[in-house]
Amino acid sequence: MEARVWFDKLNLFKECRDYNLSIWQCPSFVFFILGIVNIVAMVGTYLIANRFTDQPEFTALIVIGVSLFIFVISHSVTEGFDKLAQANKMKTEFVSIASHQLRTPLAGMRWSLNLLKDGKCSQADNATFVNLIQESTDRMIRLVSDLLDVSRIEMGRTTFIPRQTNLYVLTQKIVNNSSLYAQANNIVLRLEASETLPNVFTDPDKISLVIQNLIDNAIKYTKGQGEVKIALAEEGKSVKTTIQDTGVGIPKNQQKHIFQKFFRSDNIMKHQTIGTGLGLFIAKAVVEQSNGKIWFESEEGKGTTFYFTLPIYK
Amino acid sequence: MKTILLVEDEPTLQKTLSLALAQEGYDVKSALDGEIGLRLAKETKPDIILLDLILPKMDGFEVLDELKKDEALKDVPVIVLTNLESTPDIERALALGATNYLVKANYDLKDVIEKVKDNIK
Repeated sequence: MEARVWFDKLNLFKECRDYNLSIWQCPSFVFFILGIVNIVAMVGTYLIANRFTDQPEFTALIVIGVSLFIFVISHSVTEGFDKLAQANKMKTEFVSIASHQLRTPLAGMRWSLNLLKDGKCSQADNATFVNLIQESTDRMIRLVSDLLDVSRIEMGRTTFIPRQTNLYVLTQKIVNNSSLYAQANNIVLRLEASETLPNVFTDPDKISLVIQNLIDNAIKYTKGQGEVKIALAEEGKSVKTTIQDTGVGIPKNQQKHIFQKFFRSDNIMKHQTIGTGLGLFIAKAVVEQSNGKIWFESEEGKGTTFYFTLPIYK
Repeated sequence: MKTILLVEDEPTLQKTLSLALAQEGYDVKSALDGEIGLRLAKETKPDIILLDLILPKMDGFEVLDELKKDEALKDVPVIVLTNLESTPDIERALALGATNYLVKANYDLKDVIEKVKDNIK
């Protein structure tokens, strides 16, 4: 795998094709050309320096100086090129995935409205279609606000206002609000925390969304009956939050992609659940903005446990 | 009665489209993922297949490829119903033998049904 990545780097034309650029705009081709320019400059400098001095050490010093200068400049130019090309590619992918994600609820609304307008369906069916339209609208609204969050994260323009936060009170509120939803899914929600838990330093509004998202996921991906355990505990200089479910788990080969935007695990519940694939990407960004860490352990069929840490308020 | 196999993983789209097709008098079999879709195709030998591309377990391209390799199923028309609209996706689906390629959000149900009627033998 490693060797292949290197081989791909050597293949100048492949990169141009990937970025959809002409050869003269390709970062690695430009670097290659600048390399040749550097060699020519070295030879030139050597010949010129030789005419003005008899000392070989001095000639060597001048050649090294000039080539180093050209190398540093060419490296930063190519780096800049590469960043722009990558940003452009990401933007294109982003637009194409986002529009695909928006189209699905749009098609759902369109077809439900078609059936309602036809008026050939039973009263019960019509009520179902109204619900489907409602669901699709909710999904689109959620998707649009998530997309805005993601673009703010990527531009580095999130409004993140960290302050002293009582994580226990905040988590308890979310657990209480989610208990009805959990009950409806035959799931017991349990919160374990000591009352002497120190306050943490984070943006309470943002971290609430993260905890809500993790609990929702835990409930959503637990099939039939089960338990979702939320634990808060002091650990060193931070407070660790643990959200453990007894759900379907994340397949091993997909675990490394879980925090990527738009990624949704291909597990057995995918077709029964709705998700934008943005929740965990946002969660990771929020936790990292608070100088915390987020990670998980998961086994297919047994369940998933998410952990995140937040620094204690000093 | 003509049989239609609908392979679609989005519950909303699956419910609305299967109901609309049933109202037109078709026998609709539904599959929520690619694997079940392929199995149902082999079991029921439908008259036409409506196939989504992004599907759990086995994506639409793989299903299409398998369908066209199967002697008994290779002549069954397959309409790809998706929200992917990039040229490579369209070309790939058509090269694999899809009869039609429809972007779901761009069509009303009656247009989809019209396409089904055009292609059913």
